[in-house]
Parts: sequence; C-alpha cells; structure tokens
Amino acid sequence: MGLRRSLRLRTLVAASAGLALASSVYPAAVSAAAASGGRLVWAAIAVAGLFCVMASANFAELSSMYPTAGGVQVYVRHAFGERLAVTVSLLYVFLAWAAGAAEAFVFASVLEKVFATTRIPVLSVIPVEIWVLAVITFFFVINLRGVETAGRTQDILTYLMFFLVLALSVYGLVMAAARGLPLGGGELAAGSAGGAAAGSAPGGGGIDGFIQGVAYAVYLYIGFEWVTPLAEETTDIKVLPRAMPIAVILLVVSYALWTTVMVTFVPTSALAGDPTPHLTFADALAGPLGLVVVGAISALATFTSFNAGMMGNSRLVYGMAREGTLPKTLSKIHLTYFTPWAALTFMFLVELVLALVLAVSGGFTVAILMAAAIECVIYFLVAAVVLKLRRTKPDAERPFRAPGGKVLPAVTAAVFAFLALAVFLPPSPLLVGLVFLVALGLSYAYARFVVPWVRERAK
Amino acid sequence: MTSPGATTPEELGKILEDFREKAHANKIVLKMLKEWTRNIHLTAPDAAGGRTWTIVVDNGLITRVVPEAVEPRDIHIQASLESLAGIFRGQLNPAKEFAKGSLKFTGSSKDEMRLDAIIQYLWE
Repeated sequence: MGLRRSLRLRTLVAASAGLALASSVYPAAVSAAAASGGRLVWAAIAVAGLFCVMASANFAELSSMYPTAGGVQVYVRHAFGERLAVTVSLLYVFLAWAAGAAEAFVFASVLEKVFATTRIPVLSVIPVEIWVLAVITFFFVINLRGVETAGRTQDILTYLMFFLVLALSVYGLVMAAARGLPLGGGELAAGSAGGAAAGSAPGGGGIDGFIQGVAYAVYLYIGFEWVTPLAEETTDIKVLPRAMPIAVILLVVSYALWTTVMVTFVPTSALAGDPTPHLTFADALAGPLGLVVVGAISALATFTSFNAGMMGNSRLVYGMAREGTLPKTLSKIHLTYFTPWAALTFMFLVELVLALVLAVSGGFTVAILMAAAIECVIYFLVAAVVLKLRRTKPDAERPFRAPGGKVLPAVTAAVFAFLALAVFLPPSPLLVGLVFLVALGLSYAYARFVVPWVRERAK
Repeated sequence: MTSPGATTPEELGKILEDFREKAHANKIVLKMLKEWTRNIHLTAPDAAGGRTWTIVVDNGLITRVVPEAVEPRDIHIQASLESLAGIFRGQLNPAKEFAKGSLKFTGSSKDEMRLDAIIQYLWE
C-alpha cells in the first residue's frame, strides 16, 4: 500500500517551477539579454535550460537513491563526507538570503511603481524601503502560521502564471509585428549585463557575451531542484525524474518568449539596472493597464516563490540545528502551527537587513548574480557526487539512472564549473566574486572549525 | 535477524507502548496531538521478515500500537530495530539518524515536523 496522500506529476512540476516563477527573474533575464544580445537572448535562455535539464537527471538519480527531505546535503554527505555537506548546506542558506533579499526588493519596487502610477492616495507615496519591510514581514507571518500554497492551490497558481506569461508574450509578438518592431530590438550584444546596475563599464559581446548570458540565465531556473525533498511524499519515485525537465522546459518557453518580446519593446540598455523591467515593458506594451496586469502577475509570482523559498530554507536551517550542525536554539518548533519559528525568525531578520541594504545601495544585481553562481557551483557538485557514488557504490539501488553513462554527469560538471566562473568575469560587478568568496569561505570555516565545537558543547 | 543482546521485536512493542503512555501523560504533547489522525507505520527491515508496527493516532489520542500494518498509511518510518528503539526511548536523535541515512521518512513535511516536535518535547 502507498501513502494515503501521494504527490502527482502535475503537482511536482508546479513545485519544481514554483521558485523560478519569481519577480527577480526579470532583471536577471535583462542581464542575460544585455550580455548575449537581444536577438540571441532566447538562445542563451534555451541553452541554460538545456544544461539545467541535464543537471536535473543527476538530481533525479540521487533522489531515487536517497528519497529524503535532506536533499543535497544527504547526497554530498554520502559521497564526500560531512564537512563538504555542511559547506554546501550553508551555501544554500546564502543562496536563499541573496535570492530572497533580491526578490523582496524587486517586488517592493513593483509595488512602489504600480501604486505611484495608479496614484492611490497614501499608497502612492510609500517609499521602497517601507514596502520591503511590509513584504518580508508579511511572508514571515504567513510562514510562521504554516500557511502553505501546497497541492492544488500551488498547481492552479503555477499553471495560471505560465498561461498569463505565455499569453502576454504572444500578445506582445503580435503587437511587435503590427508595429513593425525588429524582434530582440536588433541588439546583438550590448554587453552591459549586471554591470549597468553597479555602474561598471559595458563589455562582453560575441561568444564571450553569449556564454555569460547563458550563465546569467541559470538564475531563471533557480530552485527547480528544490522539488527533490518532496521525494518522500511520493510513492512513485519515477515521477520526479519526469517532473523536473518538464518544469524547466515550460520555463524555457515562457522566459525565452517573454524576454525576447520585452527587449523588442524597450531597448536592453534602457532596462539594464531597472529592478522592474517587466513593468517598464508592460507600460510600453499596453500602458497603465498593462502595468497593473503585470504587477498582479508579479505579486502572484512573489507570493508562491517567496513563500516556498522561506519555508524550504527555514526547514533546512531547522534540520541542521536538529542534527547539531547549527546552534540548538534554531531547532525550536511552534507548538500550535508546527513551524520552525526560531529558524524562520533568523531567516526573516537576515533577509530583512539584506533587502534593506539592496534597497539603499541598488545593488540587487549583485545578489541575483551571486545566487546564479551558487546554483552553478551546486549543480557542478551534484554531478561530481553522481560520478563519485557510481564509483564507490556501484551496486547501490538506483531506481532512476541518469542516461548516457558517465558522459552526462561529467559534461554537466564541466559545464557548470565553467558557467560559475563566467558569472564572475567582467562585466559582472567585481563584488559578485568577492561576496561569493566570502560566503564560500565562511561556509567552509564554519564546517571545519565551528561544527566540531558546537557538537562538543552539545555533549 | 537481530544480534544477541540487541532489541527484540517484542521489546520494541513495549517501548512503543511506553511512548504512548508517556505522550498521554504530557499535557503539552496532548495539545500537539490535538485533532491529529494518522496511521504511522514503523518498519524494521532487520527484524525477521521485515516487521511493521503501526501507531494509530485518532483525533488527538494514540488509540493503539499494533504489531502489524494498519491501512491506510499516512507516515512511514523505516529504520533498524535498534534505531527505532533508541528514538522512541529518547536515546537517539531522529534528525541525526536521518542525516546519517539510517532512518527513512515517507510522508508530508508538516507531519514530519509535528512528530519531531513531539519527540523533542518528550525527551529533550
């Protein structure tokens, strides 16, 4: 007999795409367009999607071997030991902070822009910093109360967003044809990327720019692998390997079309550095009405992605505290809602401070690119785990095996190691590499020196 | 097969009964169990033939612990007899067993959190 409630393919696809359907992907898409060129951005997004499909096969193999909510840290622990597993888990926490803060800031900017345009009394004069505070506090409270957009609700919201993004993109294509606009704005490689936001000089273009565009576009699929912890909520382990590539392909089609149409209507150079390029595009496409409609889609996107992200990450922090790698205080559970309130409060405070820093500094692109770099490093590492476990545990049961023998994991590892490096190169702001190195250094130092001390103290 | 001196299936049955009594004697745990109805399967693959016990939680009370699988299953925990005994005696941390890979959990993450909260509150 299976579980009374077992997740289906439709829900797993929605959960896999849920985090990536966010408001902060639009500035990332503009960075990809600026690096690869407006006319080629669809190809950069598709190539990044293809690599993510390859990475998903590695995740699928490992989740079929270890169908637990522990996810990546369990896989890495089995292949490379506890120290690297803790380092990777902490990198995920940094990823959550970076992406969460960027998402909160971008959505706060959406609210500021929508209300300023609609001129609603009081709301139209609230500054972005206050919106940041309101957005993060709202998600903190609903997470604390254990409100989940799970199951059918998550399905409906996700597929509705796919539909709306595709419908608006098709409408945009038709309007572009009617107005005689060249698709992609005719820019082959502006190369300003994230640098525009941080004030660095434009560069890139050509093959280099395209590769960098692919690296930036990895952010568009952020968290597709976060569905693997749900392996323990499904009875058919073979559903998960199908769900992830389907989700990524849906994202490829949606974002490739949307971004192409977006840079068709507004030049990439005008969108670079804009935290709400999707609203600027909507305004150009359909005026204030378009802006309000896309603002509503953005709200929906932030609601599902931020909620799932905060919940997933607080549970990761809680799990680490429970097994003794983080301070025990973080393992406290709310006795009515059964939510990890201490871990949630910790995530809330850090994300609030980071989002306010982004609001004041305008450096949201740094946070987005750093999250993309961390994802690339994690995809590289997971491919290395597959290779290592096939060598050290060749006879272990693998209900799903990534196709192509060692070729697929080896190629995936090489590609993502290369893309991780590409994220750091100019025109990316220098700060991206520096912040990443600090995050990596702190994660490793914590795993190397603090974890043994915390364990010793717990005894 | 269990090694000499190790926990026997009969002993695990007693440990689970003790767990039930201890849970019912604790007001906070009773509050945590409130309105909860679940069939929790515990499977020890190392017990002869891979035995399963079920903790039946019905509307806020652990009504019975039976040495067989009661359907439908809501939660499934798989671990060795020794690990299950250690966890339900409060001597082992389930999160550590989980991280080591010596415990498998199947069920919703919310149920996982509630069960872990009960175990934490009873023993830690």
